[in-house]
Amino acid sequence: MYEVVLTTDRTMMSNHHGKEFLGFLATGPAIKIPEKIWFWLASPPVKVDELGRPREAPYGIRKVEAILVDAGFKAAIIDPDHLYKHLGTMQVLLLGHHDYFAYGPPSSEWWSITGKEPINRVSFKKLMESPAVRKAREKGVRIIAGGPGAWQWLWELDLWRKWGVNTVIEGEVERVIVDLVEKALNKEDLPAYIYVGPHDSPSIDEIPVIKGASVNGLVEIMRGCPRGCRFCSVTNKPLRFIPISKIIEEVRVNVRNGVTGAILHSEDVLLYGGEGVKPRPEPLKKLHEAVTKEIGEKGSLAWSHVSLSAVKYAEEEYGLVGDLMENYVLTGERRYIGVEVGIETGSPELAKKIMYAKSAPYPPEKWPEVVEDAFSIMHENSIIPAATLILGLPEETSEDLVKTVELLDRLKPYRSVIIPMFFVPMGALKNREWFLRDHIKPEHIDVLLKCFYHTLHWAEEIMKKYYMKEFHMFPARLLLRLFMWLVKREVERVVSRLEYRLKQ
Amino acid sequence: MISVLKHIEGDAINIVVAYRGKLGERGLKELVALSRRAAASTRKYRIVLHVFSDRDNLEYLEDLRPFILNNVVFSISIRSYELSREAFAKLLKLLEKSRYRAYVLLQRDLEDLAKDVSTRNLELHII
Repeated sequence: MYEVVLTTDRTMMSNHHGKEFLGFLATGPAIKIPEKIWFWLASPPVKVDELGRPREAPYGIRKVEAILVDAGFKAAIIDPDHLYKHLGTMQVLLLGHHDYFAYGPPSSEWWSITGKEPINRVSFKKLMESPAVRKAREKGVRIIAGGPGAWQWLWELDLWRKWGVNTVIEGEVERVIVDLVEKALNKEDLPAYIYVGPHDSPSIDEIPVIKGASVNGLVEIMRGCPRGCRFCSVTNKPLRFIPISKIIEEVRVNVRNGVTGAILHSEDVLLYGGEGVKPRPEPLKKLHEAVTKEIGEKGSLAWSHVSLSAVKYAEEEYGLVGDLMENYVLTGERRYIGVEVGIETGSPELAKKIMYAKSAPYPPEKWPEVVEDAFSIMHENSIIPAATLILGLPEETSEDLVKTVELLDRLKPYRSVIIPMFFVPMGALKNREWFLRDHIKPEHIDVLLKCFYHTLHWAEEIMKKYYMKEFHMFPARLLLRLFMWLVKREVERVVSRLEYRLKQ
Repeated sequence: MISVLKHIEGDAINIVVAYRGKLGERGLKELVALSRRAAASTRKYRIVLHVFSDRDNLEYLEDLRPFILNNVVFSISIRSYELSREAFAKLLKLLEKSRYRAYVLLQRDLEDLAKDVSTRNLELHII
C-alpha cells in the first residue's frame, strides 16, 4: 500500500488500443456518437494488477514515480478506477496531465468550434469529483498537480480551490519533487505555485530510468529543441541527449512488462546526436540499431516528432531517411512509421517572424519548398506524417493564410493527415491573446476546409492499407469509419449552407 | 517558520508583496521592474514571491498571472499569507535573518506595516 499515489484521468491512463493516434479523439467532444462509446474508442481502460497499478502509464508520470521510488518513498502510479484501494495509506496524491482543462491544442479548437466540452476535460473533472478523490481530500491528503498542462490551473482558480489542490508545479520537476513531496508528507506549508525555469532543469544524470512500462512504449531520447520557435514551450529548455544505454534500459523495462513497441520521443527525433540543427547519420543509426534489436521485427516503432527541415537535410545530404527506414524500421510486420510534424504556416513572411529557425539550415524564405520536399521524401519512404498548422498566430495576415492554402494544394499528392489548430499562447508568446471561433476570417475557413478534405481523403487510404489492420481492431475501425462518414456529411451540410448564404 | 524548498527557493530573490483589493497595473509593473532589477544585480534566477493579500483564497493568482506568463527565464515559487501585521512581521523577521537581500513591495495604504521593515537587508518600495 502506498503513501504517495500518482494518477491521472482515463483519457491519459490508456494505451488507446495500442494506437497512439486514437488518443487524439479524447481532445474533442463526443460528436454524433454516445459519450461512452467515444470514451471506449479514444481511451479504453488499461490492464492493472491487484493493487490497481497499471501495466502502462503516461511516461511523464512514470518519470516522477521513478524519482520518488529511488528516493525511498512508498510511491506508485495507480489507475484512476482503483484509487479507493489506497485511501487507508495515501497521504499525498500527485496528478499529471498534458491538458487538464482542454485549453491546449487541439482541444481548445474543437471546444471553440463545437461549443461542447472535450472529453479530456469531462474526464478529468469526473476524476476530481470521484468518491475516491473526494474522500482523500476529506481525510487531508495533500494534492499536487504537475505536468505539461499545469499552466491551465491558473485559469481555473475556482476548481483549484474547490478541489483543494495544494500546489501546482510547472516545468521539469526532477530536482524539486522529492523535497516537495517530503514537505507535503510532513504537513509543512507548501507554495501554491511553482515554475521550474531552465536554470533548474535536471542534467542527464538526474533524469531517472522509468520503473514500469510507458504508454505504447514511449521513451525519451532527448529534451529541449534548438529551433527557438516563439509559440513553443519546449524550446525554453536546454538541449540534452539521453545516452543510448539509458534509452535501451527503458525499452527493456517496457519489453519486460509486455510492451514490445517503442515510440522514440523528442521534439525532433532526427536531431538526436545532431550538430545544432543538422542531423548526423552515426548517432541516429546507432540508436535505431539498438532499439530495433530490443523490440525485434514485430514490435511497432514510431517517432514522436520530426522537423521537416531535418527530414529534407538528412535525406538530401546523406540519404539517411531512406537508410533508416530500409535498414532498421521497415520489416514484414512494420510497414510504415507514424510521426507528428509541424507545418504551422505556408507563409515565409510569418515563418520569419515566429519560427525563424524552423526551416534551418535552409532560410525561412524557402519554408514552403522545405515542407513540400519533406512530404515527398516521407511519402516515398512509408512515413505517415500527422501535420499541424496554427491558425491565428500573432501578426498573421490574410496574405499569410492565402499562402498556407497554396501550400496545402501542393501537398495534395502526399499521404498525410493535416490538423489545423487554433493558436494557444505558449512559449515566448504565452502572454498573447487566444485565438477563438469569433476571430475566424473567410481565409481561415478556406484553410480549415482544405485540411479537412485532405485528411479525409488520406485517412481512408491509410486505414485501408496501413492502420488498424489487426483483426481485434475491427470494431474500432468500424466506429472510426462511421465517425468519418458522419463528420463528412455534417461538414458538407455546413459548407452548402455557407455557399448559399454567400450567393445571397 | 517557512520550510524552504532547497532546490527552488534556496539562493533565491525573495520579494514580499502586500496589498489590499487588487494589485493593479501599477503594482504589477513595479513588481516586474523590481524582479528584473533584483535579478540583474544579484545574478540569481530564482524568485520567491511572498504574497500578503486580503483577496479570497487563490484570487491573488489572478493578479499575478501576467507576471507568471511574462516569465520564461526565472524559477518562481509563490507563497501566500493572511494579510495581518503579525504574519507580516513574522515573515520579515525570518527574511532578515537570512543572508540574502529581500525586497518588500507595499501598497501605500498599508504603509503602517513598513514600521516593521528594517533597512538592514530589506529594501522597501511603496506602490
